[in-house]
Amino acid sequence: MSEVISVNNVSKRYGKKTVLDKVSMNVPSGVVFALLGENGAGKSTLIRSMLGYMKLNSGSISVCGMDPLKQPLELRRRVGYVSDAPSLYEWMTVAQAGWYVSGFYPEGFLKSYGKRINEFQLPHDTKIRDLSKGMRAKVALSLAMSFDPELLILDEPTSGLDPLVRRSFLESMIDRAAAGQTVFLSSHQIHEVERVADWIAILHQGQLQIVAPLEELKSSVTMLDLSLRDPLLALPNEMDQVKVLHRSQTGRTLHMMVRGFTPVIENALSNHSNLFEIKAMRPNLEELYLGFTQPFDSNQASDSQGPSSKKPNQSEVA
Amino acid sequence: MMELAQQSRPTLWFALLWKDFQQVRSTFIAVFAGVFAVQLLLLFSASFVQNAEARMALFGGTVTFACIAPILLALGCGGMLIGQERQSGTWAWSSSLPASWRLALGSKLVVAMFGSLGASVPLAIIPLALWMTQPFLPAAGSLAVIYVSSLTVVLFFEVVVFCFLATTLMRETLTALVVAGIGLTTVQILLGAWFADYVLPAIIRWGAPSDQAGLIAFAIFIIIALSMGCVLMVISFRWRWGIGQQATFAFWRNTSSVRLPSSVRYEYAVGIAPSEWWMLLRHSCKNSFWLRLIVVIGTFVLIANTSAVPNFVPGIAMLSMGILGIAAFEGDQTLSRFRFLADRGVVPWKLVVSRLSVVAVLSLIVAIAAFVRLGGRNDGVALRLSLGPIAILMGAFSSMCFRKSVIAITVALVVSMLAISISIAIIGSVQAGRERLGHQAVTQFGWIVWYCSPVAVMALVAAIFGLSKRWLVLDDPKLERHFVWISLTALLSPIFVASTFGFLMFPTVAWQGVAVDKLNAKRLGVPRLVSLDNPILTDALPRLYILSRSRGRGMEGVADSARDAMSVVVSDLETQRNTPAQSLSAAVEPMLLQLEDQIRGQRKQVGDTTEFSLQLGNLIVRTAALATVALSENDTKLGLRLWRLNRELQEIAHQADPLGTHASCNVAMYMLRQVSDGDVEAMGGAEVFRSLIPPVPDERTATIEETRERATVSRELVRGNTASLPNTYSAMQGHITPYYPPLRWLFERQIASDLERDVKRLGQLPENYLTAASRASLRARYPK
Repeated sequence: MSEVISVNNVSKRYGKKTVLDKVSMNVPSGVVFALLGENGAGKSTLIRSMLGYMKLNSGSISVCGMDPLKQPLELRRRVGYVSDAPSLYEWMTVAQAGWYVSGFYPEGFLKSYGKRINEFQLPHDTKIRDLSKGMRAKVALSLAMSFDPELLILDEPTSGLDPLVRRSFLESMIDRAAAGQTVFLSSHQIHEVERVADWIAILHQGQLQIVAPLEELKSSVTMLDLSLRDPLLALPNEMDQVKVLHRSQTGRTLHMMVRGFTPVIENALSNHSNLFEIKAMRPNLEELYLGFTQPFDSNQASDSQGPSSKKPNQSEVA
Repeated sequence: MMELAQQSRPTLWFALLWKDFQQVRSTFIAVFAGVFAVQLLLLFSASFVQNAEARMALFGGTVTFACIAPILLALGCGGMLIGQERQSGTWAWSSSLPASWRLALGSKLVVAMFGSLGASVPLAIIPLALWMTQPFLPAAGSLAVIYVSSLTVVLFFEVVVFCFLATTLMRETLTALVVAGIGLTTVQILLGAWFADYVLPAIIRWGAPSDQAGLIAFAIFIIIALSMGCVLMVISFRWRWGIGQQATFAFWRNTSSVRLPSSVRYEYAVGIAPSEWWMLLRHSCKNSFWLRLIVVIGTFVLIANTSAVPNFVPGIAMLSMGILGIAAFEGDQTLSRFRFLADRGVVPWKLVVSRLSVVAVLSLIVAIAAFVRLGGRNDGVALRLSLGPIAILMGAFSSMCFRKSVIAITVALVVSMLAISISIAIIGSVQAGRERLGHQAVTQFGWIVWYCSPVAVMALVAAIFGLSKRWLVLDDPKLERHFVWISLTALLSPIFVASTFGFLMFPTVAWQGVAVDKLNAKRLGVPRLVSLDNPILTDALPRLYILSRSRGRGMEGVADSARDAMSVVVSDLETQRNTPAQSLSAAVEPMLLQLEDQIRGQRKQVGDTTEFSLQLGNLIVRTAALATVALSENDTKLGLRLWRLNRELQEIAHQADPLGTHASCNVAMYMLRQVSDGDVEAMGGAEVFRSLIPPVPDERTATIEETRERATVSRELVRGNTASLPNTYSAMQGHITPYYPPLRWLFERQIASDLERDVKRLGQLPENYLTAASRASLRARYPK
């Protein structure tokens, strides 16, 4: 599987504030790739860097085999982009917007655009200023998708869309990926992303926490609830073999998100005298997201010091 | 779908051009329609004005506005094509499309250039038509026309380049446009000074002819200024289109990201809840902070660098106040901050008061600076600056009604120009008849209108406060629909009030005019005259003419200053011709020959037109002024020749229309009175000199009688009784007073009052106060 986007050790600073800190990842072609992160995590900065809108402090980015800063025009001919707040010309009608943009792309754009706005049930002759927020988003999506781009980059694409349209739109993303095109999207709608995304990347405070295929991630990560007899005692040595992604404690119960949790380790734990109950579950995406973005070691209802364990670093998880 | 699919796909260029043109279309239409309407109004006003000088000024106004239009369009293009795109976010979307920065910039420049050209060319029709039909406008090939035309084109390009540059660099459109204007002026001043000090002498040293060195330096200056601007514009556009989209300069960063001031930190620390007033005033101070600061500093710089010309300094101050007015709500409008305030339940009138009070304080500083700069030398400064509140409120009202600052400033300018033109048309029409008769007190109506100017302030304040709730609360208040009629009504309200209630300012006095029948009996025998062409003179002489006219109107100040002023003009003539000894006679000779020929022709056929008497009056004043100059230059032969010509002109005037040229004859006699005894001897002695003085036995009685006749004619004209007047005046037109009784009452009372005053004043003069016999007594009475 070839890589459509390649981000290598990218850092971006605004003054003293580091927005992206040594981010590295590869996006394979023909997948729906979801970038998750809290507000201000650096998602939009990363996306705008991919499109050549800003110079990086260090690192390099390659999109469709091109350097966005050196070949911005060629890149924009092959990549469709919808920002989180697309500002279209308000005085244009829906049809005029399509006619205007068709000048930038090869033949066939108008036909495709007409089909899409009919699917979205958008009025042709209504001015953009008279459309609702969701309808404007539909116009922006139609404009970005109508030239059938090799890569579609969407920053919060479903914001403002009603549930039915949102579902149908996300399913169309799966179809695109199936047809060999790549969709890169950032979103807060974790449940919806989980349904369509093949790959997941989680960005937290400018640092990439994890990037992996969703199914692989789900299968490799385990949520553990360990009930301890004495919270002050150390965990068994077998726990050193797993990578702890996140840990919190509620009373005598230790919640852990770990990687590399095997049945052998589970057996070893079950025989340990300090543990009287072990619950092991596969996490969903929301739990994964929270696990990667919440503080690594948090005590939810206890002031007791938890058992020591190894904190993961980015290179280990990514 | 079918419709879209069947449409043909535009080319990249066409799509960009179409989009950019649509973006500025409303600006083009607003500027074109506004300026064209103003030109029509000026033409309309000119049709009422009989005075050639005033009419020339009105016709010149059509040229001025045709020259202003491209500058306004350039400002609009900079604001809408870049500033507005960046502010609304469409810039970011456009740049995500596969269009290079070269195409994007090229399209914007093409639309700015050709769109402005398309809108400006029709605006040149009226000035061109006047050019071809009116002999007193500069000739087509004259240096003045070439200079003004080329300056307009150059200024247009400079404004386009600087506006594009500033709006590319700065986030807020209006701030950017103001910075562009100030930056352009600063560059002109600095580069101009550098050129004057270093480049011009160098060009002359390199062997360029001295009369062309200035032009060469000007051309080099323009090329350098434009090249610098273009290079910077291209670099900044390319950067902003690509990697610099979200870059901001720390200097201009949003104040919200700046560390809180100590007072606020203190309030947080001790838990004091600030009052609504305090918060509003603080927010008001920070709103458009940089824009206001730049406007005030820019105004100081411009005022300091402008020579203390009474017309320029108040003009700059008024423009500055207008922009400050627009800044009152600009910060709330552009980023929809008013929505935040509305959601917090802010009281509309408190919000308006807080916004206007900050602007008022800044405007006061600007007004004081302007007043100090002029040192109070001109009474008109205070008068014009007193109209500042109207400028502020117009700006504030437009910024409240229009979300986009560029549209707000354009519409406010156009509506203001319309209102001013309508006011001038009305004032001109009501004053035309009186001015025609040589009244010096015709400006009184203008004063009455000025006294009523607070009405406009009150109307605009009422409009702003009345609509503030709607503006703040409604999602789509549609205030722009009401702006034009409300602001026009407010701006025209002073003239309406003055016309309707102005008569109350004058007491009823006993009428001292003559019977209309007597007037008819005296004037009915006057035969007709053909039109006398006003000769086109050399470049310097029209200036001399205007100078003498302005001195003539001042009357009391003429005695001492006329000679000084004339000597300046003569020096100019000498400088231009480089032959001091021959300069005056060489310049005057063609005019003398032309006039003498014309007068010989006129003697054969005499009749009536008001236009003729006006031209005659101008020629009387001009020849008198030139004769005085000639004598001061010891060219007594030329002086005598000019005085004889002047005497002949006065005879024709007396025969054709003594009332109309009365003031001009007085000016001529006033100047003749200044001739020294030495000059009298040099001109041929007392006998020759006496022959130049009209043989009036009792000047005082004659003048009083003429004043009464003039007042009678004035009153009949005001009443619309032109048919009852002698044929000399029956052709007069342009009075609207008969159709509006309150205005007629005003002028009737004013005429009666003026007549009473004039008769009393004239009665105190010596019997022959203009003739040679009275010269000695006058000298004793008014020693130098």
